[in-house]
Amino acid sequence: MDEEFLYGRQLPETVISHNLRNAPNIEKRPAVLKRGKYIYCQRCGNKTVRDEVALPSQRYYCPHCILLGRVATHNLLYSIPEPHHFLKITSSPLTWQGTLSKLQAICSSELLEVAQTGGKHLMWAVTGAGKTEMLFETIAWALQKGRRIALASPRVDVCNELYPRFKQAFNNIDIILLHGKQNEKYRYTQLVICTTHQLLRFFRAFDILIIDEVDAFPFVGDKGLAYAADNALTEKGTLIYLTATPSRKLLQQIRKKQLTVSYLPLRFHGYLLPEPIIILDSQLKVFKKKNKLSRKIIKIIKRWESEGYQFLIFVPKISLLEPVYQSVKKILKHDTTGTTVFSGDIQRIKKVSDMRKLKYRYLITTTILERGVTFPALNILILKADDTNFTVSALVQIAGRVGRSFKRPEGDIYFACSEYSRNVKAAVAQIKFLNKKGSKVQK
Amino acid sequence: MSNCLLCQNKVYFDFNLKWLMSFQKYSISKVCSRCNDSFEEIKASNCCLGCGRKQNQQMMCLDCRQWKKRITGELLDNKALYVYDQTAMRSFIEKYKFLGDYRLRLVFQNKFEKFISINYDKDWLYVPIPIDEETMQIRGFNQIEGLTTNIPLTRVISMREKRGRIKQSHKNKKERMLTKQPFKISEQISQLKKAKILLLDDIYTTGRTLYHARNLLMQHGAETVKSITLCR
Ligand SMILES: [Zn+2]
Ligand SMILES: [Zn+2]
Ligand SMILES: [Zn+2]
Repeated sequence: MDEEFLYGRQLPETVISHNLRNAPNIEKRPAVLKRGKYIYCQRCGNKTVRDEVALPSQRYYCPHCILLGRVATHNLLYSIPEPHHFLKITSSPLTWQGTLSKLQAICSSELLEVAQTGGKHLMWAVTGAGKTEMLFETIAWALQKGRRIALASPRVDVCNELYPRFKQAFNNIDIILLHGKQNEKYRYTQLVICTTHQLLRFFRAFDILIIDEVDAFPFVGDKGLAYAADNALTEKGTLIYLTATPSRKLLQQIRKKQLTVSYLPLRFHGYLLPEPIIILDSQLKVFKKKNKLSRKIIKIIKRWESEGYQFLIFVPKISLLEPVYQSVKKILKHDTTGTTVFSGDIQRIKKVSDMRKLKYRYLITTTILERGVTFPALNILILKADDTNFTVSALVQIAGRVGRSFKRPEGDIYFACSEYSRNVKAAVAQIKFLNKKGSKVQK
Repeated sequence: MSNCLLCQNKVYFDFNLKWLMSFQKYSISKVCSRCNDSFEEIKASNCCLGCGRKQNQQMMCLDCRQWKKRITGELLDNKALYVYDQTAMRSFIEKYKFLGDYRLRLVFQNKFEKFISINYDKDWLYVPIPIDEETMQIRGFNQIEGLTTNIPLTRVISMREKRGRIKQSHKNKKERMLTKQPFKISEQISQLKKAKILLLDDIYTTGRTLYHARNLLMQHGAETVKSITLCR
C-alpha cells in the first residue's frame, strides 16, 4: 500500500497494511472514546449507550457507521495529512461545450465567489433548474488552483448520475466514484464523487465540498451529515449545499446568518414550478374500509384520461397500492393500462422503463423514482398528502416531477388530503416562495 | 417502546386481549412485526429428517441421501428454526456475523434458546461450534454463543491450529466437502463418555462442519450427537 492511500483519510488498522501503519507522517487517534455511560465515535460523531454495544471482550463498538466496517474502542483511525500532491493543470480542464442561461450564469459566478472566499453556502435551486452545469466553473477554477474537491450526495443514484456527467465535462481529469454498491478500488484523486456516507472515510481532505440533494432523504440526519462534512473539510474549506427543498435546520442557519444563500427560482426552460392544488377530501380517511375514491378525484382522473397525458398517483403506504390500483382501474377504460410500483419492487426498473416507452398510461407508486427518471408530460396526484410519510421535501420533490420538458413545461399537481397538515402547508409555501422570486427574474 | 433492531422503526407493545388472557409478562419485542414476518420459519412437519431443510414432505433430502452413503451410522438429525437461503436471513447473517453487529444476537436469542431447551432437556450437553482465534480477534464474539447466552454451554471442542486454513464461507460446495477435520477436543474428556451431545451452530450449509464435530465426539466416547442450527 502506498502512502497516497491515506492522504486526507481516516481508516482503521483493519483495512490498511502493516507498512503503512509505520509511515513517517502518520497520525492516529482512537476510533471510539469511552465517556461514562456512553461511547463517542470519532469517525461518525454519534454517541451510543455503552451497554447496548458491549462485545464479550469488554470492547464497545459504534453501530451507526458499521456499514463502513466496524470500529470499536480498541481500534485506531489512521490518517496522513492531505498534502495536495496533484499534477499542475495549466489550461482550463473544462471540456464542457454547453452554455449557461443568464440566470444560471449569475448563480455560477456567485458560487465561484463563495469558493474563493470560503464559508458555508446554500444554493436553493428549483427542481429541474440545471444545478450541475452551474458547478463547472467553480470546479474548473479549483482544479487549476490545486485544491481537492468532493461532490457528495446522500443518494447513490444521484452519485451515479453525476459521475458520467463530470467525466464528460472534465475529460482529462481523473475522478473516482465512491459508494457502497460500487467495486472500484480506491485511488488518490483530486476530484471525488461519493455518497455522504463515504465522507466518513475522509479527514480534512477537501478544500471544496459540495453536497447535492442534501434533503433528498429524510433519514439522513442533519447532525450526522454536518459532522461528516466538517470532518472531511479542510480547516478553511468551503462547504456548498445544493437543494430544491432546504430543511428547517438549514433555513434556520440562513436566518442566523451562519449560511449564505443564493436562489435559482426558474427551471431550465424558464418557467415557474407548477403550484399544487389542494383537494380537501374527507373520504380519504375511510378509503381502506370502502375502497372507493371520492367524486372529485374520479373526475380528475377521468379528465386526465381524456386529455391523453401520463400520470402518477402517489400513496403513502405499500398496502394502499393494490386497493387504489383496483379503484382506479374501475374508473378507466379497458385499454388505459397502468401498474403499481414501490421502491423494493423487483420489477421496478422494468415497470419504469415500460412507462417511459408509453406502455403504461399511469403508475400507482409509493416512491419518488430515481432522480434521472423523468417523464416528459406528466400529471400527478398525491393521495393522503397529509400522511406523515410524505415529508415537506418529498412533497416538493414529487411536485417537481411535473412540467419537466420544453414541450409541456406545465402540468397538474394535486395534493389530496383530509387535513391541511403542516407538511402540506410548508411544501406549498416553499413552492410559492420560489415562484415569487422566479416571477421577479422572469420579467 | 423501543426501536426495531433491524429497520429502526418504532416497536409498540400490542396490548390485545390475547395477551391479557395469557397472563404473560409484559415484554417488548426487539424486532417489529414486519421484520419478524420477513423470516421464513421451518415447521417440524415440513422438513428433511436428516438436516432440517425446509421441504414439502418429511423425508430425506438429496444432500442427506449423499451423506447416508458417506457415513456409517445415523444421519445427524439436525433441526433448524429458519430457512437460510432467503433475503431477510442472508442479510441478517451478513450484518450480525460479517459486519459484527453484536446487538443483533437479540433478534433471535430468546426464541433460539427456547427452541433448544424445548427439544433437548438437561440431560444433553450443549456444545457450541467454536471459531478460530483470528476470527475471534477480529469479530470479538462467537456468533453461536451470542445466540445462546442464557443456556449452559459445554465448550469441549476447539479449532485445531492450522496455518493457511481457508474459511468455510470462502469455499464453494465441493471444496467444503473436502475439508479435513478442523476440530480437536480441548478439555473435560471424562464428561464425554456416554454423553448425549447437542451441537449448536448458526448455519447448516453442507453439514461438513457438523459431521466432523460429531465424528470427533463419537471417537471420544459420546453416546449420541445431534445438532441444532439457527438456519438451514
Ligand atoms: Zn460511528
Ligand atoms: Zn423492523
Ligand atoms: Zn437433508
